[in-house]
Parts: sequence; C-alpha cells; structure tokens
Amino acid sequence: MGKLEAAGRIWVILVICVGSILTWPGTAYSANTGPEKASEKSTATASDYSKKGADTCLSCHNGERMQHIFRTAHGQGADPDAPFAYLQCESCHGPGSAHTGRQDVGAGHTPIIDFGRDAATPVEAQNAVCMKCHTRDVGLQWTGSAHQNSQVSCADCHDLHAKVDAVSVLTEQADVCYKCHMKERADNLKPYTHPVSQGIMTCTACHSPHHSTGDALLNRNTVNELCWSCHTELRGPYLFEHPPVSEDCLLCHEAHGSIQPAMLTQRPPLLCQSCHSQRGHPSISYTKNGLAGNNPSAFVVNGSCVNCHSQIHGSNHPSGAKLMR
Amino acid sequence: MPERRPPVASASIGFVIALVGLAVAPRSAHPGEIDTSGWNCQLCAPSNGWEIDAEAGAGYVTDDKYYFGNYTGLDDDGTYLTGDVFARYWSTHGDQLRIEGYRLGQDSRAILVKGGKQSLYKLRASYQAIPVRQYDTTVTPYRGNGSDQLTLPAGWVQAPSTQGMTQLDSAKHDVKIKQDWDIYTAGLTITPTQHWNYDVDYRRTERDGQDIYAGSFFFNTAEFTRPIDYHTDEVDAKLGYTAQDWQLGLGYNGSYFDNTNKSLTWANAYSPQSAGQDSGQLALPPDNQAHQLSLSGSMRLPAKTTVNAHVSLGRMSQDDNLLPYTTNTLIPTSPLPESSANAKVDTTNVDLRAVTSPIDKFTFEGQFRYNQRDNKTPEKSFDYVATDLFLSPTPVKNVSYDYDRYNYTLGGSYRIDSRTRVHAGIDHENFKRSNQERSDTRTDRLSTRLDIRPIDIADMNIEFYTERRDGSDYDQITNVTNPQNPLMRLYNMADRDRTGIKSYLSILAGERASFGVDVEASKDQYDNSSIGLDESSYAGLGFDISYLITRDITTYATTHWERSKSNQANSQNYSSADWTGDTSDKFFTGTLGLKYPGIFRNLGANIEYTYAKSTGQIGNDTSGLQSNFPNLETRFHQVKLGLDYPYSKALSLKVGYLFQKYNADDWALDGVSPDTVPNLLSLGANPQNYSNQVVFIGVKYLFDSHTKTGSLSTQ
Repeated sequence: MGKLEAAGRIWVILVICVGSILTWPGTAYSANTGPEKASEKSTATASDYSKKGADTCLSCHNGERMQHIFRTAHGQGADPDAPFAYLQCESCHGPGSAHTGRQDVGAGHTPIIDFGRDAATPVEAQNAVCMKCHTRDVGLQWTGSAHQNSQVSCADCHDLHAKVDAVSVLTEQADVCYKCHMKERADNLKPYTHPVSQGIMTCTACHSPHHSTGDALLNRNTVNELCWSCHTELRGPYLFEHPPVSEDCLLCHEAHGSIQPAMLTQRPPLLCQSCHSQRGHPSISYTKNGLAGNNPSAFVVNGSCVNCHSQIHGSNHPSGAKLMR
Repeated sequence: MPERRPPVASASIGFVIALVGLAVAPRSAHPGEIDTSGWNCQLCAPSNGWEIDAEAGAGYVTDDKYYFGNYTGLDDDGTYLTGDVFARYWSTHGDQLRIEGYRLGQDSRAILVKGGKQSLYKLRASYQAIPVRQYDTTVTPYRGNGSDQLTLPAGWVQAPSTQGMTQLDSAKHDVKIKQDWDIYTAGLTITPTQHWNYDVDYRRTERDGQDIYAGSFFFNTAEFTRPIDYHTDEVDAKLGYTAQDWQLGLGYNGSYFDNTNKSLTWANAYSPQSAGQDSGQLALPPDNQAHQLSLSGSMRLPAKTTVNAHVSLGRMSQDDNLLPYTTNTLIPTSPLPESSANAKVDTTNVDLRAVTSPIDKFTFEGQFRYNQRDNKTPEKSFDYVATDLFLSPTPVKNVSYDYDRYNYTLGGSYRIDSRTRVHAGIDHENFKRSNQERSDTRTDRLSTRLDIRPIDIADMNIEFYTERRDGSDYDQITNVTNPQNPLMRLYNMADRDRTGIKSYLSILAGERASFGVDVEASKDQYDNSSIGLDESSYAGLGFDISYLITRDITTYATTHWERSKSNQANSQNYSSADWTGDTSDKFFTGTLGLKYPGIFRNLGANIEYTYAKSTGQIGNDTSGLQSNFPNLETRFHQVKLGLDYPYSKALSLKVGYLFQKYNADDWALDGVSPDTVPNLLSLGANPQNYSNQVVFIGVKYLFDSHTKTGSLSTQ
C-alpha cells in the first residue's frame, strides 16, 4: 500500500468517525450537567412530548406510588435542579406522545422508558437516564464496577416512586440488598454478627455499591483499613505484631457473620493450629478430654489459646513478644 | 477490473455525507422549544410543606435476659417508652429537611438529620447508640472492674491451683460484660457551581464498658475484665471537580484514637512461681493516629472508554510510652532501648482501571491494583521477661512486617443478544511479604460467567472460577526460640487450588409472585501442605419467594442452608503429621411472613416467624484414635406480630408483639465455673440462653401540612 493510499484510508476513517460523532444521539454518555443538558442531546422533537405533561400521565397512572414522588427530591417542581421542573415525568421516562397517543385496537400502548427489574427498557438505557444528573454523585467509576458488570440497574436498588427510598433508610436498606445477596441475609442471622438485622448498621457502612477501589466494593482500599475505621484500637501499629492481623482481618474473621464467637472462621485451638506447629503445647492434639467433666484444660475451654495469649491482635508491651503481655 | 476510486475522492464523499447527515438530522428539542405552558400539573400532589410520621408508645419486656439486650438494649424487664419519627420538609424554593428517629428512648436509639438545598449545600448530623450486652453470668474475685487496676480482696489466699483458692467462693461477685458505643457525626457538602463540590465529615465514637480478657503467669492464667474507655475522632474532607467528561477528586482522612487506660495491672491469684511475681501488667491498646491523602480521577474517552485512577498515601503511627519489662522488681532488666515503639506504617494504594466498548456488543476491562504496607517501626532488641517469672537469656527483636500486593485483572464480555451475555476474566495477584516464611506468592484465577434471560420473566447467571496459588520457596523462620515445624505451610501462603461455582436465578411472575434461588459451592485444596490446612469447602443454597394472594395480602418465605468444612494436619512430635482435625459448620435459617391489611374491617396485621440453627462439629483423629467434641449448637426462634388500626386518616393505633427464644450449647463454656480448670481462674460465663417477650402499644400520627391531614377526628 502506498503512503498516499494509507493516508487516504486514515482520512476516510477519521471523517466517518467525526461525522458519526456529530450525528450521534449521545443519550448514553451525556454530561453531568443536569436534565436541561440531557434533553439538548436528545433527538426528540417538541411533538414527541405529551400535550399536558404530568397531567397526561396522571390521568392514567394515578395511584399512590405516582403521587409519592412529589414529596421527594425528584418531584419538586419549584426546584430548578429537580428533573420534574423541566419536563415533568418525561424528564426521566422520555417523550410520551407516542405512549399516550391514539393506539390501534388491541395494540397496547407504545412503550416508554421504564425502570426496574421487569422493565422492557435495557439496563444501559435505564441507567443512562439517571446518570444524566447523578454522574457526580455516582462517579464515572460506575462504569466497569461489579454491579454495572452484573447488569444491575439503578432502579433495582432505588425506588424513586416510593414514599421513601428504602436504601436511604437505616432500618430498611439491608432488605433491598438481600433481594440479590441472599447469603448475606442468612449471614446476618447467625449468632455472631454485626448489628445489621437489628437496623443499627447498614450495608453501606462498609460497602460502596456504586464503585470502589477496594475488593468487594469496600469503602476503603483494603479490608484492614475498613475494619480499623471503627475498631481503631486494633490499628496500632503494635510493637509486637501478629502477622495475619497486619495482613488481613478476614484470615481469622467472617465479616458478615459466623457461628463462632467473635465472628471467627473456626474455633480455637484448631484455628490457631492451622498455622502454629511449634514444639510443645501449640501442636498437641486437644480432644474432648479437655472439656469440663473430664480433665478440663485451659487449652480447650473458655478462650483456649487466648486464655494466655490474650493480646492476639498485637502487643505494645516490651515483654509482649508472645502476645501474653 | 473496475477502476478503484482514489482515496481522496472517497474521503471527500464521506465528508459530504457527514455534512448532509448533520443537516437533515432532526434537531434536538431544547426545553425552551417545548411548549409546556399547558403543563399545569393539576393532578399532581402538593410537593412542599411538612410531612411527619411519628410513632410513640410503651413497650413491656416480660423477663430480664441480658443477652436479649445485645444490640437492643432491652436487657431489663419492665416498661420502657419508645418512639420513631420520620419528618420531611420541602420549601417552595427547594430547601429540604429530613429528620429520622428510631427506637428513641431505648439504648439502641438513632437520630439522623439531613437538610439543605439541592445542588447548593447539604448538612447532615446523626447520633447513634449501640448497646453490646454479652454476659451477666460472669463472676470474679477481682475488685476494680472497669478500671486499670484489678485487686484481690483482703484475706485472699493464693494457691497453686484454682481448687486451692479457699476464698474464691466468698470473694466472687457478679460482673457484667458489656459495652456502649456512642457515635456522633456531622457533615457538610457545598456545591457552589455545577463543577465543584466540597465535602467535610466528622465522626466521634465513644466506647465505654469492659470485655473479657486474660493474663497468665506461665501456665496459670486468669480471666478478668479489661476496661474499655475509647474515643476516636475522624475527619474526612473531599474536594471534587466534575467536568463534561472527566472528574477529579482530592481527599483527606484523619483518624485519632485515644485510650484513657494505658495498661491493666492485675493481682496474682495463684501462688507465685518465683519471688516477686505478685502482679502482672498488660499493655492496653495505645493511642494512635492515621492519616491518608488520596487523589482520584476519571475520564470518559471516545469509543465508549472510561479510565479511572486512584492513588492514596497514608501513615499510621503511635508513640505511647512503653511499660516496664515487668512489674516484678526482683527481676533485673536492661534499660528499654527506646521510650516508645515509635511505630509507623506507611501505606500506598493505587487503583487503575480502564473499561472500553470499541466494538458493538463487546466490552473489555483492565485493572491494576497495588497495595503496600511499609512498616517503618524501628526494630530493636528487647529483654524478654516471661510472664513476670524469669528473664529469658535470649533477647527478642520486634519484627516489622511489610507487604506489597500487585493485582492485575483483564476481562471481557460479549453480548450475544439482548438476553444473553458472557463474561470471561483472568486475574493475577503477586503478594510479597517480608520477614515471613514465603516471600512471594502468586495467584492466578480464571473466571467465566453467563448472564441469561431465558424467558421474559426469568434472569439467571452462572459463574465458574478456578484459581491456583504457588510462589517462592517456603523458608522456615529459624531465628526464634521455638520455630515452626519445617513441614508447616501457613494457609494464607501455601500452594492452593481453588474451584468454585455460583449461580443465581430470579423469576418475576408479573406483579403477583417472585422467586429467587442462590447456589454457591467452592473447594480449596492444599496438596503441598503436609502440616497445616489440607482442604476446605463451602456449599450454600437459598430460596426466596414472595406471593401476592390478593392485591393487598402478601406472603413471603426465605430459606438458606450452608455447610463449611475443613481438614488440617499437625504433628505432636515435630515431625510428619500424626493427627488431623476436622471441622464441619452448618447453618440453616428460614423466615415465613404474611402481611394482611384489612384482615378485619380496617384492622391490618402482619406476622413473621424466623428460625435459625447452627451446628459446629469438631473432631480429632490422633494416630487412628477418633475424638469428637460435642456439637456446638445455637437455635433461634423469633415471632413478630403487628396490628395496625387506623382510627382516622391521621391516627393509627398499633400493637406489637415479639417473642424470641435463643439456646446455645457450647462446650467451651458448658460446666466451666471459676475453679473447674486447675490453672484457669474463669469468669464462669454460661452459654447464652433466653426466652423473652415484648409487647408494644402505641399510636402513629401522620401530619401532612398541605393536605391538612393531622386531625385526630375520625372524619
């Protein structure tokens, strides 16, 4: 291929790209500059919108759920930053003329942008509507995040037509997450847990569902950073460290809940003996003979290993090398 | 051969086509061009004014069961006052205020206040109390519980074992194991322009109480209470800029922990094993602080590409004065090498991610993550006094543990059609550790997932993954007085093969019914570990059903079962494995519920039953002799019943009933009283068992300023 021909091909590609961008509908990746800018990027014309706005919609969709939105941020008509202040229902649901217009007998209403798990509107299109305004709150990091990769729509978690969006309520948020995260619902019913099922802690106390720089959508960069944000007494750094503690709390603990006290993954002494094999008492096979009623042993009952090595998370004592002081 | 059109001509035609396309493309409708003059919103509900939903009443707890008060604060029987409130206000100019209160009047109360003006500023504040109630069956001969000095009463007779402590029965008294958390927060967000935003949040956490701790004199140990008097102040500040296609954020997080008590000294209840061993002293968590600066950016590029970057640098430090080596004044020691640990750990975190969809139906993602822990605490040589008994001839050195973790991920997805999508990904992690048995571990993971909507009402995904970990040679740490068995392989560093499968199915049968199934299973094998964890596995299955019997009557049920198993080997002879330990933990839970508004005229009812059972089995096989511990079991039953009678539009009468029953069999606590174990002076905690009931009667009042709802009349 000659240089001129190659340059020509490149020029063609560039022109087609530029031409395409100029005429691109641009609904999916609009700027976070409010609903007004969103409709600037829409290809809809004035005739695509309903005649009377919300009154048109409410003449059919007039249930309680439709009216609740007027007591939320989205439905504040007098607030210029609220979507309702622009094109009312059609700010989010898109132009409604075709949906509300005359339909052929038996044809059903022309679909309109709909939200939720059973909506006909594709997830990407649903989310694009929300992201017109919420890119700043949610962040561009939403793209490629775990929930976005799993095709979760904003409306799967957020209910804008509810009287109160359950994810924003201290005592109700977890139930929203449990719709998909069934294992975690069960974990929070185990005997040793964080106080989530009691309506004291929420899932977002530890997780950022929109995006995160850490594993498992944690609020912090690492597990330990997160745990130490509340359990600050364990942060140290200690003079004598216990290496697994410094590395990852989840090496010994189950954060969502456990059937073992202190949310441990396993009972001592076996938990400790999965890493300790030194001569002497660390590597002895402790059996039920060590229980009360037999030959009760401090290596078995009560705290087992922590009956002596109580400074299990580390010690700041100069004689604390064995985590006993 | 047809003449090929010159490329310049092709380009020109393409350019013209683009221009023509631009000219004839329908012009976007600007809001100003849409005639909304007729959009009067006559059917819209009023949006401004107050809306208050307040509930107040009295509850009665039938029995004082301490563990029932864990997280509820209802550890005493009798009457208590409580209330909930949800209040919301909107002005005609977009000002808003939201007040929420939960369990007001109880030890688990929470109040949250938010307000502001959209896109201008937001204020927020909250207070939350969390009661932790663990044991009230615990007894101790020590005095001064809750302080940093635990003494024994006058006349205490030391003895070589607990059975010889003749004063124990008369000296022991009740001591409760409990903690109270009080958390205060305040925050402000300012959005002066559509591009800039500033956030600052402050949180103060206070913890007060005591927990179970222990201290030993060689092999003679005693349980006692450790005082908790902690305060943490945390500040989070962020500055963000959002442009059309990019965002930038700068953040700072600072956290300051303060412990009122620096040490805990307890009297030796046993006969001293050497002269001067009259007391022991533990170091309590030192005051510490942590600071972190972070910079984040995201940018949207052409071809549906987004790139994200995040960097944070942090430092954790503490320099509390070190305690003396021992409280035994008869043991001579060297001077401390330093007055404090001068402990310092620097952290670095980097996260880079790019996601692109250059071709229709394809998405590609790449991510790099780096986490570093750089422990800069000086390593010094210390004398070692073993439990105030003797000075070890061999000094010890504090070891500073560092790590570097590199994680690389590449993934892609392909949308076969509107109902089907496949994903595949590879992940490589390189974990480098200092001063540990294995300096380098490498983990590679392959995963694939199918998301499919086989029919309109069903969504399903199924994921399969396989992972392999290996690394550098395993080197025993030998510069310690009692090294590990050379065959030991720590499970966080050992060679490991992992496979797993996860699947989720959800069916939405119209508005009437929904059904969900969740399945998960995984297995870890440590084939190169002859001592240590050998194998572990997990299996879980859950169902979730809800069904509308009528438009108003809802029933629902959830259930989940899971089992975790593990097997490990060890050696009593510092040689090859001569015993194994197995654990098998099972958990089952189920909930049934019914919501029936209008069960009788206007009376609404809801009822829910929850059951949860856990079983832990542990067994040892020692040279062919099998010994199984009794099952560790917990059983939980809960019944909740609620009745709601609307007296008027604004006023409802509410009655609630809660029944809870919890039983635990725990061999670690069963039958263990203070002197059961000769060398363990126990607090004698019993497994928690309780049965309790709570009855609540109250009123709920709804006030809506715009509709004037709020009259107590039945009209």
